[in-house]
Amino acid sequence: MIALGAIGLAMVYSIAEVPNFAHGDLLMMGAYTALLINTPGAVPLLDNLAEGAQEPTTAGLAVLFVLGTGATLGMFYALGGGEALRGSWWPVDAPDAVAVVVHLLAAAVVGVVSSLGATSFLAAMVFSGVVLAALAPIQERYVFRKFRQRDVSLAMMLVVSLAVAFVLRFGVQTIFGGTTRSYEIQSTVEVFGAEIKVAIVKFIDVYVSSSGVLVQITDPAEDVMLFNNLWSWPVFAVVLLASLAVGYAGYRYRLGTRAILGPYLLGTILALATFFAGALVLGASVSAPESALVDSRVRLSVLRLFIILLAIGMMGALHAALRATKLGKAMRATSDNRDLAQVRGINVDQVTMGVWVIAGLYAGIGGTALGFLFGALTITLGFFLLLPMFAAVILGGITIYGALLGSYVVGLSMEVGLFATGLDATYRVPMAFVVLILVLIAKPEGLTG
Amino acid sequence: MAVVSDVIISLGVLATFYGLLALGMNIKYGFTGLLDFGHVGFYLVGAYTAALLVIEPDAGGPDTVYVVGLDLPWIVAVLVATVLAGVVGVFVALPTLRLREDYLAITVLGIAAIFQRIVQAESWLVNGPDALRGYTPPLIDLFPVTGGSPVGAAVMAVAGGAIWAGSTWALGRAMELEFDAGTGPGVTVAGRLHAVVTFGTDRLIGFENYRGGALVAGAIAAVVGGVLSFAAQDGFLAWAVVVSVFTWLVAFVWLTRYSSGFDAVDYLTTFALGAAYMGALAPMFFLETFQLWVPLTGLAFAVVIGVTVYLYSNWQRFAARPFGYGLFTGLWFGFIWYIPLQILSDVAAANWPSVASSIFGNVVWVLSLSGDVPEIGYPRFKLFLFGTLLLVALYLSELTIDSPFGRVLRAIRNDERVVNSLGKDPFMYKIMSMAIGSALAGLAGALAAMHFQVLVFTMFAPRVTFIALLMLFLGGVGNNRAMVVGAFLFWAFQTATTQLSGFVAPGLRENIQAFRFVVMGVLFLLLLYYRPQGLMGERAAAEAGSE
Repeated sequence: MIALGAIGLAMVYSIAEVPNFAHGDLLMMGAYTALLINTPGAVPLLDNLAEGAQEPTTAGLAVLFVLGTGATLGMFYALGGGEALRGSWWPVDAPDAVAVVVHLLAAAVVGVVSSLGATSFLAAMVFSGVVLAALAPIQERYVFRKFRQRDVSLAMMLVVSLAVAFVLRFGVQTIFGGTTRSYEIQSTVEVFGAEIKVAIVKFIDVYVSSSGVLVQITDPAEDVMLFNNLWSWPVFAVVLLASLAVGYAGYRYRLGTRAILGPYLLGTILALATFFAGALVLGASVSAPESALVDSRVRLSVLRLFIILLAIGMMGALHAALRATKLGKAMRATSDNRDLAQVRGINVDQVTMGVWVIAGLYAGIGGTALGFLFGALTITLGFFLLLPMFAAVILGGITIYGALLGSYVVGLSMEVGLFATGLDATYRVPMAFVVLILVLIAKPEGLTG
Repeated sequence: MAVVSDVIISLGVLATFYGLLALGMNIKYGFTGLLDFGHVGFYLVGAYTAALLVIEPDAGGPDTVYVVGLDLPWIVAVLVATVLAGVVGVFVALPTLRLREDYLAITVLGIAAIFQRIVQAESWLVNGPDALRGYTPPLIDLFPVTGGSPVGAAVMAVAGGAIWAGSTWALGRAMELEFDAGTGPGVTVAGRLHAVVTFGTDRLIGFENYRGGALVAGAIAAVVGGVLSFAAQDGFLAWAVVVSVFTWLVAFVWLTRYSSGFDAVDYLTTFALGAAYMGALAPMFFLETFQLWVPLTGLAFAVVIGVTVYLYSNWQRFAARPFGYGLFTGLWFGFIWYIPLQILSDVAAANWPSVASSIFGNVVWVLSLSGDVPEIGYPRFKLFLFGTLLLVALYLSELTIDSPFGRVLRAIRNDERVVNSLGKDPFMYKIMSMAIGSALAGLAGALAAMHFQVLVFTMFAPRVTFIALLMLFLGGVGNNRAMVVGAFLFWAFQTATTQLSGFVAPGLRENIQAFRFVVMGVLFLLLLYYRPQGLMGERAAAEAGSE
């Protein structure tokens, strides 16, 4: 979860050279923006256009449509002005007209989704993503770029971003007041006629015993066994070996080429796919063993699973964008060396704007997901996320891929540290910092250097 | 009758200990270049240490739990809190100082967050998420004091004498500057006034030695004030009036120095601007409907700000003296609020006695006249106490900064390698800078504990660091005196907006309170962009370097 925020932060840090203290508040803003879709009745000004907490009137829907469409166009515009609207950032060359039409269509789709899909989780996410993606570049355009042109020191940039964070946080508070808000979460979603309870946790139990590895998924609310599979040790070993072999084959196949699917990524994906496929085919159903060497239980709801998948998907999308598009290439170049990139004819200002667009998009989506996970929205939500995010980014050595790694290290260490020391959950954020401080003292350049 | 001098007094109290906080920040960032985002952590350490030292031992009550209560006198508590915060500062600095500046800032921010979380989570330590309360500030039983009693006489003697000495010193300084400009003694307003307030001793001691003269005058004033106050309540009142009027006169003398070159046009323009800013707020006072006054006030402010900016860029008089114009516009604004606005409704009702008592009460700021009897209440004593501490800290910081040690600190800020090549270890100096800065934050924390009488972990949010930074940049980076100015400006803004939110429907008050932070953030950004050295800037390098 930290990862979604950390990616944006890392991109801004490495490419725009802003250690952005406002990023946590950007997430917070994303979470509050989603309120517009989810519970329009609870939003000041918009509540005049709503009949109930979740029943906007036609006028309210029109407002949402306009906001959604406008924000989408704004987002594309921020990618590179009028040029971008004509498709300059696309990976493929397309006639201007096509690009414009596609952009307009996309904007209209977002607008329709925001208004017609109102109150649904996905629509809220999309809406909040595009709104933030349109808002974040404004910060860059009117604040950070001005200061960068003055050549201020990094410390000064920190102070500036702190001030921006203040403006954002209290701006939201001015509009929404200081009270805690919460989303209306539908507990069931109909998919193809079948009702799925999204908010209810499922138990995933893993037992490791002398007879093999057993995985059970149960629904505690209805006490139904959803999935039950045992792998005896030989089978488990075969599956494991097969996946490693397939993974290595994939690695060799791609070795030496630089593409969206690099050798490591392809290898990993193939290995995982083989592992799950093999596991599904070769498993056998039994009941839970009496004695197990290791047993662990993971609580997971469909909602959480969805968010995790979404995060992975978005990381994949970012990876593809960085590797395949011209803009992504320019971003990587700017991240490596800003001056050199400029000398080579890259419009670094434009690239930086693009970075902010992506950071805003991810912050919007991440913030919404966060709001759904926590259930309650507070103004300080972002700030307490900011600290672990920074920890993750610094751990990763201020690179985008490093930030991913850092996020997992920080997230894990927060949980493991709490569990190991038996401390109160209040110490979750400090735990991230203890890790950060230890790493900084031992290896100040970060994990990936 | 509306006496608002009490508001000014409470503003002053807040400004004094926040000034100390900013002073600590200045030592760290302004002089040494260490961006300490965890400044609030030391403030927290100081506050809780002081509170735990003075609080009575835990009686085992169910509502308040804390680890230890030592029931020590405040003076010990304040000292220990200061020293302990400094020591904590050293321990925080040891691992973190070797990091790059942005890492340093984030790491210390994290440490401050950890401190806050410890206070919140460990309920045995200082009552956990609930407030720590149950201790009383020093000498509070004696107050309020009135004339005709030994305590009242003593308070008047000490406070009156000190104010007198301070004002006389300020007057002497103004006089000295006039001498430098070529006038003789006793010719100018300042000179004549000085002769009066030193009770004629200035001729005995000599005009050059105005510092000694101020002390003598203060001592005489202390005796006079003490005797008068002991004799009768009327004497107490009379002497308070004299002291208050004297301070106003000194303020006027200094103002005329700042306004040198001002003529009627300038005064009128600044007055008009100040009045315009006040007038822009009028819709807020008079209109009830929120949909009506919000756009109207916004529009009015846009117009006034637009006019100000236009004048600044297009009018020779303004552009030549932006500082004087800004100062006087602000002063007029404050003045309009302080006197005319408070008597407005009484004048309209032709209630003249009330008008007179309002003006009197606001002018005689030394006494609180809101009660039945004129008295010196605890807030005024607190202001006096904190103000004295602030001045002492300020003096000591100035000494530190002007010493060779301070010069090394500034050299570290400018270029660390130079210091290194001159054979001094920057690391040790940085540690010491952190210790001093943190100790000042601890002192501020102890005073805050004294002031609020209740401590909750939310009071130590990272916001405090931001406020300290704002004061730092507002006043001037690397300028100790400017910290006090910055603190006063910040709290003046806060007080003004608090007063304003009193006119707003209660449901919106929270939004207004949040909105003022937005305004503050925007102003801060503008300040950072257009005047990164702060309003006053660093004290002229030549002045500091020639010593």
